[in-house]
Amino acid sequence: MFSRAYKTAVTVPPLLWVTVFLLVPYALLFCYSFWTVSPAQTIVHHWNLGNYRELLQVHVYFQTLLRSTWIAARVMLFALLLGYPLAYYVSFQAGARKNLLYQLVIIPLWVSYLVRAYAWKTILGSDGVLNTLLQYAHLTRHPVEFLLYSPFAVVLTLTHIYTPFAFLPIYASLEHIPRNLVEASHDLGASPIQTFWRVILPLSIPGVLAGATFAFVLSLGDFLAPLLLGGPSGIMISNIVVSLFGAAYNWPLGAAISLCMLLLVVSLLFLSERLEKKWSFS
Amino acid sequence: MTSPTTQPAAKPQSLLSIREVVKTFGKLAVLRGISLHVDEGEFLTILGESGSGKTTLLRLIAGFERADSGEIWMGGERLDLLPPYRRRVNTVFQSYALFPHLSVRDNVAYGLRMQKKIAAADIDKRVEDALAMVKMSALAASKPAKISGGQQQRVALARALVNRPRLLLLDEPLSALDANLRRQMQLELKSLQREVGISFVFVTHDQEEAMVMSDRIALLRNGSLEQVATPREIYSRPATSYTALFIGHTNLLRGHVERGLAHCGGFQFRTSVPDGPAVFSVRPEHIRLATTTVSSSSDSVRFRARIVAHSFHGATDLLQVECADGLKLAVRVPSHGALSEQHDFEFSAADAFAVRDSEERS
Amino acid sequence: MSASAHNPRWLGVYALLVFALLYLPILVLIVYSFNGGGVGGFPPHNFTFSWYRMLLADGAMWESVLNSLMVALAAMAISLLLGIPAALALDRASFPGKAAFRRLVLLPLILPGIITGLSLLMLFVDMGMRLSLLTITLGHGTALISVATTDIFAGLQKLDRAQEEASLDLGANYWQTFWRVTLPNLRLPIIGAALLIFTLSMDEIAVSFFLIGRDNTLPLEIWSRLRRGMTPEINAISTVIFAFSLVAIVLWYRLRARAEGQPELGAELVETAAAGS
Repeated sequence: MFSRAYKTAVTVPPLLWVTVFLLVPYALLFCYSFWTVSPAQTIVHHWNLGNYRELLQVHVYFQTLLRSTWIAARVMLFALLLGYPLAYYVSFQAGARKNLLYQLVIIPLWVSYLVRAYAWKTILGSDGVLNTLLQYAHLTRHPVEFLLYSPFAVVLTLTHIYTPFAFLPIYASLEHIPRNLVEASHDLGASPIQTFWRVILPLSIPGVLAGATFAFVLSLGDFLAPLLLGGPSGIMISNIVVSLFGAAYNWPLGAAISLCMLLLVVSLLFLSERLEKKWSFS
Repeated sequence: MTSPTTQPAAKPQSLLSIREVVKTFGKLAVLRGISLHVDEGEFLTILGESGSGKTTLLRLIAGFERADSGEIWMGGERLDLLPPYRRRVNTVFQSYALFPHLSVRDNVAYGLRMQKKIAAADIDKRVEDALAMVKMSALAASKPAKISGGQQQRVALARALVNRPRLLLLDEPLSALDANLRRQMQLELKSLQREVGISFVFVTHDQEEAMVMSDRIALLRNGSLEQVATPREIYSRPATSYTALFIGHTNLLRGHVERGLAHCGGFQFRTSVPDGPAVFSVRPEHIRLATTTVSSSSDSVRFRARIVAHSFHGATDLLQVECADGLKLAVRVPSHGALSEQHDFEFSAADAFAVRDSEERS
Repeated sequence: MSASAHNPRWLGVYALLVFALLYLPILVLIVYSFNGGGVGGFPPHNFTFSWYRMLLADGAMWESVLNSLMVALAAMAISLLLGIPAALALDRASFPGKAAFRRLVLLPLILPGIITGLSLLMLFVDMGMRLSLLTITLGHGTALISVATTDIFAGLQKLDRAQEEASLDLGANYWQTFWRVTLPNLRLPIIGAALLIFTLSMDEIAVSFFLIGRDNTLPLEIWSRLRRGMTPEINAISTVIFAFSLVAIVLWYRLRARAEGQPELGAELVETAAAGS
């Protein structure tokens, strides 16, 4: 029903813009990762695999990537452990307060990321809220130091930030389950727990996959929480990229690491999309 | 000799003419070469099952779809080359498609406001008239969500008619209404059409609705026209077995003709059909309970059958009967008390109407 | 037994604990913005407004707020001006590379912000552009087209196509139909997307981090101060921002509830992004 002129008018401007400001930059990232930087700190447009060789040879890159993955995996796990029961509760048992509770989960998403990370810092610090509370309650005499500047602090903060992201798709998938399926299961003699394992959980898998992907991918690329709360043992892969683009001035190497991250993220998204399709029955 | 002007206007001028229109969606052939005309002031119904292509045909006339080949003409102009907004054709949509953000009045005024030439005062007047015509003046300020389905229907009608289109398209506009309202709206719509004198092309899958309202019915099946005729004709002289089955109930008798005598299972009767295989349609209401012991007239076909089912339908009863050779027939008789299990029935050979066997298509 | 199994109390308690975790930092933040003893230290003591007074007099902070407001408004305009046609194109046009286009548009939503940020940095540097608020605006505007497209595409999916057909049928051309039918029907998704884009841009740091020139945006200003040490003034500005966000959310929910009942902003976004990228 729409004329060719209409279709052209709505297609061409965004297509052009996205090409210039997204496709070209990502392509530049790809190019840079095969270039080098000269001792005089200029970019040498000479195609080679040196950056990738360095990534394989210098252990700190791989170790940091591994640590980032491990942190992201824990965040994902905790976000699911917190988000799923919460989604289940809001969807199936909150009754009249359902809408209110749903909105209460969303609201923290609107509060500045930086500010929330900062709040955790004020809670976990050696003279922070938690430590002074413990001392106030005479549970400890000296501040507990491991709280801040550790992977623990990073995982806690990222879990707090990404739990709503895990919650949302899970909640949506639970909401899409027709309630008569649950009734049919009970009618056929399944207990609530059996119904959960055999009907509700399988049907909510796509939401779980989407939520898990979100929590994992977003925390994998995070660089503020580690800088703010991580300390030396909490450094993540993005921090290395940031320093390569800053003081260390080696854009090509930074581009190579970024490209690896990009490929990792895109293949994870691809995988999760495939799995979601497999688990969706409608 | 009489001059041409004194000739009675026996045949009204053709308003819309559809010529050899073909439409496919991907590999699916939806319309397979449709040719059809709509006369000035005519109420034409496009009747067909879902998937027959009737809505697609309507959307081609309205301009929402483009035909793969063929032409559509209206009053000496190629209609199918114009965008929808340049066609003097308006549509009443199945779901009414009233704009939810506009009041009833603004919905009706929408089309007039698009024409730059009309003065605001004229628009107001025409909108009020249109609303009065469909008895919706009182609710002019309401939003569509606040009025009932029947009222939305009237507003949709006013919104289309206020533009004085040359042709009004109606896409199953009554399907969302309940049975009583629906019957009432059928009559209202028909009298409204007479009043305004605009040609209507009405799409429906309901053969009863088509019979009640139409001047002519175009029966569409799998993208081809099965028959185009007046309701009376299409009922009493169905061209094909599909038409006979779709328009009202019927019994199909398959057999062959030899020297003017039809042989269909246990039945034999005179016919004018040429020799060879043949299919005859016998309407249930044309079969009657035989009251006398001998045939009531020379051309009547008499048979004995067992009544296997008997259902009450108000003024008539519907019987399922089984002949000795196992052939099952539907019979409609005036309401009757209990009947014995076996009974004599008869129909006249003239009521066995030869139809063309519709080939199976998919 | 059956009743308790249907509605186990532990699940409610667990949900309550999760909510506590979600709100604890926000609560702490607000409480200590009024704490005379500074950040940390239990129990809080000496209720004071002095941090807010300090904030009020802080010129650099307000300048960064102004910068952020300008960036957010401009980014909102860019994202909507391109996101609306992009959503229309995805909904109704077919062109080679459409699937790739969709994925590309949505990519910044799921990709770590620093990748988008440094890719744009390379582009701007290679183009010879000086880094400034303009480059940040372009970065935000581009990255957030994803939000506009997602929200508006979801709105288009719910829009009854017959509405636009009816408009064309009544003699309105495509342009008139767009203004009078399509756009009014998309009012809520557009407002929702605008709010979300504005908020995300106000809070954005990863992309801005790479594209920053001389002028700071608010998050970068806060960031630079955090690196120097914690001050309750940051609690104060955070509380102010939170209050404004809350007002925006409440307004949005009321608008949305009045229009259709079920507010679900954000959920659509996450769902579509998850399905789309």
